[in-house]
Amino acid sequence: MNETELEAMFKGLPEVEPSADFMRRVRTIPLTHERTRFRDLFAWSFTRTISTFAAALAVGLILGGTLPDESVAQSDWATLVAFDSESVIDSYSELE
Amino acid sequence: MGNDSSDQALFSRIQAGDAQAFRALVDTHSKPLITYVTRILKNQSEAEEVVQEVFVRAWKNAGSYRPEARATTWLHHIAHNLAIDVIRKRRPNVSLEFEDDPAPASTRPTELLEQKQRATSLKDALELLGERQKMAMLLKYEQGLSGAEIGRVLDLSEDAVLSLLARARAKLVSILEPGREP
Repeated sequence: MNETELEAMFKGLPEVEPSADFMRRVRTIPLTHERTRFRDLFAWSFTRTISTFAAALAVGLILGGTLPDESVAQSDWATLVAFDSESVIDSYSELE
Repeated sequence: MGNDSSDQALFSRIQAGDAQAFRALVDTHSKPLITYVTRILKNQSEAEEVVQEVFVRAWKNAGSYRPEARATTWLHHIAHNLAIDVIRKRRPNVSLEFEDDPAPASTRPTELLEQKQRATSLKDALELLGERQKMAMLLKYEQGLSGAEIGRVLDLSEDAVLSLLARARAKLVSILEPGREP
């Protein structure tokens, strides 16, 4: 069987006719489905980024503002003590 | 099936929200898409649901159409993926028969019978091919897609498509004409 014979055989397959109900349904898609608006999508993602950034900034400022000044230094010392460095412990005791 | 420039013009109008252009797309591509998906799913109602979803996506995402591919390739690609999803969902209950076909064009009884017999043996032979081989053969010989276009639909390279088609052709010929070399 050559290529032409094979092609002819496939051409002999009967096409499937879409039903009338299908055609009615698909022709009304523009009336029943809203299109994806790329500009709106961009605006939405931009607004979302800005609000996330603003929220993060606000939380950062609130937390930063409520921390006592010495708490930072104490936590630093605590870290150094944890490493068990003698010199550091000495200087820490001197400070106390 | 449209050509590149008319497809591009049609999609530009659809992107602009032209419902008339969308209807032209539906009228041109419904029959080949339903035929292709029905051959895969062997069920016209399911095929119509799949193709309806293809057109919904085409309407909603007309902006993602790129003129490098013909509209028919783009639509077949979406249809193919949706049909594969359906097959994966219902795998244990796949029907083995095509639904009733509409009457062929010829009206002479002997021709009609011969045509019907040829069509039946081809359909039966196609069922003996692997899923991908069958899809590639349908896309090439029934839908008229090129090797590169079939590659886009099936997510394969053109070389892979050519080798897939060669194997499918050889197998199909050996089924249809046992004892004869392809």
